[in-house]
Amino acid sequence: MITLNERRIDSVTVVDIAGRITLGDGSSALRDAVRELLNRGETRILLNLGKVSYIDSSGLGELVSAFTQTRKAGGELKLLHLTRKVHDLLQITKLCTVFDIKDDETQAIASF
Amino acid sequence: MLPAPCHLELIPRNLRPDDHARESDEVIRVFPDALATMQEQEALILESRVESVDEAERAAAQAALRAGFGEDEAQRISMAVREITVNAVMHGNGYDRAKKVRVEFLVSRQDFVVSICDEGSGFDPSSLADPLAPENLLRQSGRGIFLARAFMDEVDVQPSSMGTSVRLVKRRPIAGVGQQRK
Repeated sequence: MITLNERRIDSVTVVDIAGRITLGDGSSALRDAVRELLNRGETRILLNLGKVSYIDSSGLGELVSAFTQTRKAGGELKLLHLTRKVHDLLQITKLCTVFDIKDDETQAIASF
Repeated sequence: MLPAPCHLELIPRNLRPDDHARESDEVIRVFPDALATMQEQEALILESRVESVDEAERAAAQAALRAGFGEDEAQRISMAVREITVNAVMHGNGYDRAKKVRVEFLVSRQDFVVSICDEGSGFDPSSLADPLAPENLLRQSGRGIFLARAFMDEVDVQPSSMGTSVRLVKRRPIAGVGQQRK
């Protein structure tokens, strides 16, 4: 189960995600949301993962794909409010070296 | 639908989860809740579909909690099981409904063992790319077995032309200490 809600702050689209990003519905929902944003020309994307309880390798792959697709479109995708478990996962997989990870939303938005 | 009865005697020798432990009087078996009332059941037999992955994950978490692991450790174990089951369903059996995935739990005094077997054509584990290599960091896939190895004490992959068997082992918490050894 996953829910995604978009907010626009300045030129940045914040996507508040809650639930699990896993093989199946979770991954495909994230993929669809990012694709739609890029199609609309919204290429400054901040994924708020504060309420994401679980990510599996498929979900990690989807985050990586979202990152590369956004970069290809000339934009930036950053992560906000990682839970400890998700942060540990990104550390284990060294994806914390790939993503720009933020703890504060205001500062995150200003960083684009 | 409940899986078909599955007895260890039916499992090919190379797919048995823990022959050594099986011969010991100290071995007890842990069954998922759905099977708890059916004492004959010793394994989950899952269809090759995405929902089976969730089922294996849930069963692993419940079994790990009952084996004395804390919630965080149980989640790591269930995530390892999830990742290997994804491989079995997706890469091993190729989502073929005619092919099953067997997930078996075995708890000895020392170890929590999960064996996951598919009916695919096997693969060469040495062909797996290192997901931490700089050139692979942005790859969308290829992290499943790596994560299982990160979360378990042992991960033994046994591919064959009859299917791949993966044996996951986690040392059980020491009684009275309340912490996992790893």
